[in-house]
Amino acid sequence: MKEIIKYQLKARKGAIQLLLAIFGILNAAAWAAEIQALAHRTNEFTPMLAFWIPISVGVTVCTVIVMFFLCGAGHVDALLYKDTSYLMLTIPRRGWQILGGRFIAGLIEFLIYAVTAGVLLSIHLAIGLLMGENPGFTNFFTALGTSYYQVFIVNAEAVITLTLVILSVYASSGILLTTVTVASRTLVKNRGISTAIGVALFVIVTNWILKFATFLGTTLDLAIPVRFRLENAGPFRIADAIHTGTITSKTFEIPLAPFILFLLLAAALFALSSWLLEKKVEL
Amino acid sequence: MAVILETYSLSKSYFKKSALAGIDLKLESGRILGLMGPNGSGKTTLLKILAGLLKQSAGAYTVAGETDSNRIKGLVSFLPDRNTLYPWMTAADAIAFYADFFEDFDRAKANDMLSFMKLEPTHRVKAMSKGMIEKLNLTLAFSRRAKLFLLDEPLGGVDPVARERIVSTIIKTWTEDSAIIISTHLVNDVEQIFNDVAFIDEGKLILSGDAEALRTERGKSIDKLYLDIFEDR
Amino acid sequence: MNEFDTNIPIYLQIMNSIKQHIVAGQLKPGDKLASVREQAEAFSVNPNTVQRAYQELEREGVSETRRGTGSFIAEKANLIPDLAAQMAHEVIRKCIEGMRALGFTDAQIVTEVERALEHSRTAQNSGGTH
Repeated sequence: MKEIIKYQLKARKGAIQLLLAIFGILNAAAWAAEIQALAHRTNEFTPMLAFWIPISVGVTVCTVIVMFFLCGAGHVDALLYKDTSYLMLTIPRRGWQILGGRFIAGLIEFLIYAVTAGVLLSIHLAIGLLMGENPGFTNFFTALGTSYYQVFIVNAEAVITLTLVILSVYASSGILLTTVTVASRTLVKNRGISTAIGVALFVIVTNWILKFATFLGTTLDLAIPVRFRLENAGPFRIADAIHTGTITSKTFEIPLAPFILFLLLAAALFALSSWLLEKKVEL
Repeated sequence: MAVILETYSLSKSYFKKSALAGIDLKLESGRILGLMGPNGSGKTTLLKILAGLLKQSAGAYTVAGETDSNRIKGLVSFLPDRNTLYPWMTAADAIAFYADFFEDFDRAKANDMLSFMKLEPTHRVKAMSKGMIEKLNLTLAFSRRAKLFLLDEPLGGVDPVARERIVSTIIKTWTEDSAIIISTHLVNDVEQIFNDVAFIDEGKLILSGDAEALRTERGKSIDKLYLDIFEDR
Repeated sequence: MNEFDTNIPIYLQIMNSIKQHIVAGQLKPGDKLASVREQAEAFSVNPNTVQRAYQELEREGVSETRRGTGSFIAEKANLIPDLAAQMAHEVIRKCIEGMRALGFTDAQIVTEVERALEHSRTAQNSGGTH
């Protein structure tokens, strides 16, 4: 499976570099506009800002969302619909090795996008904090550092819990997508029709799963508390924040059952799609 | 002589038609089989089933006695009629790929063949001409110490010099303990490398046998025999 | 590549080619025949075909195989004359067959052959080309 991961990443290298370059350029343009506004100490929303911030943030966030699904599915469309598919399907590797390797490579690729996006957006945040008067950050790196501190250290538990939750959704939606694509490919050869079938199946099945998950969530009393809070750090003082009306601590309850369901489903679907790939797919 | 390939009533059908109907073949090691028939006769279907790209509707086959389809993939080297290499790969990447995935891949042989074919290791597939890609695919397929080599129309659309080189490569790669199946229309150019021949039409085996025996028996070349068989079909 | 007539078994043609080389003196008794693989590559034919040719040559006593070393032209005293006679008879047989098909009687065949021999002798003597 290691080799599958290696070659899948090699194949995606060009796309990853391109997307990261786009992220970099768009966000740099936005930072330039933001820094300019900062230097002039105006707090107005200039046309430059109005253009570059939505574009950069929008493209970054949308790409990450789209990649959430495409990478989650291990780019399975490239596996099944090109002449190059012959290569993957004549090597002596089991279905689970091929799909598993592509899933892991996809996860690595997605993390590259997600982490990069996170860093880029945090820079926007830091610049934004510099513009604000309350709590009055004056140093960019302090602003950045304090933000990271508040998110990752003060709220470490919450971050870890949310990450696991998101990963379970990533895995299950990705593997579901892979399974419906492989299944529709075994039924129909025409790319257009099988994509349509695949999408339809995905929507239908997701709907069922969500209904069932909600049901489980309300019936089974398995919940986990997720607590968000803020601390005094750097120039940031809770007292000041309370003074301006910012809440310092809030707890949510997340039902655990649905996400366990998602993981179990992901495992079952993975087994199904691996079997289908090995025994039923024809090129 | 060990039996490399044996098929038992191998069949493949789709909704409307039957692509293969009860194919019984036996190929011993050290033999080269010429699979001949018009377009749509089922040649490619048969090869794809043996390569693991299609699943048969009925019947069975063994390769060197093996029935597990995954292990069979490790014993079979398939050369399709199209390019299957990723455009971003260089020739060297392709060799590394094969070396990583196939235990029986001979890296040194591949590098030798690459220079024999006058190909540069750093050349990217997307920048290669059709002829160069075919040569690269041939190099990769033949650098494996496989038990069964399947060549789907290896000579189509190739100039006479390249054709000679391909035939010469096939003979060089021939070993006592492997077998080769070549599907082709261009019977005339290659019939002297066939030991066995099989004529297939509409999914059925019409005639099969030893090439030299057929020459003696029928008093004519395999090419003429092909014409005789398929002229009025 | 197209040196062989594909209408007749190729192994026979390979055998003939080797026999011709022996009669012409290019292959001498005791000489080693090229390996099956080398021969196959040179002729662009299937190695099994070469193998068959070699086996038949051995059966006819034209060659002999020494285990581990390869095939060698037999070191028989009368090898070359015997082969030459054998091949000549084959040529003559075809000639007779052809003449009979044209309607010649045996006596007429002999006459025509003598006439042709006379013709070629005079042509040789005058040093001209036909």
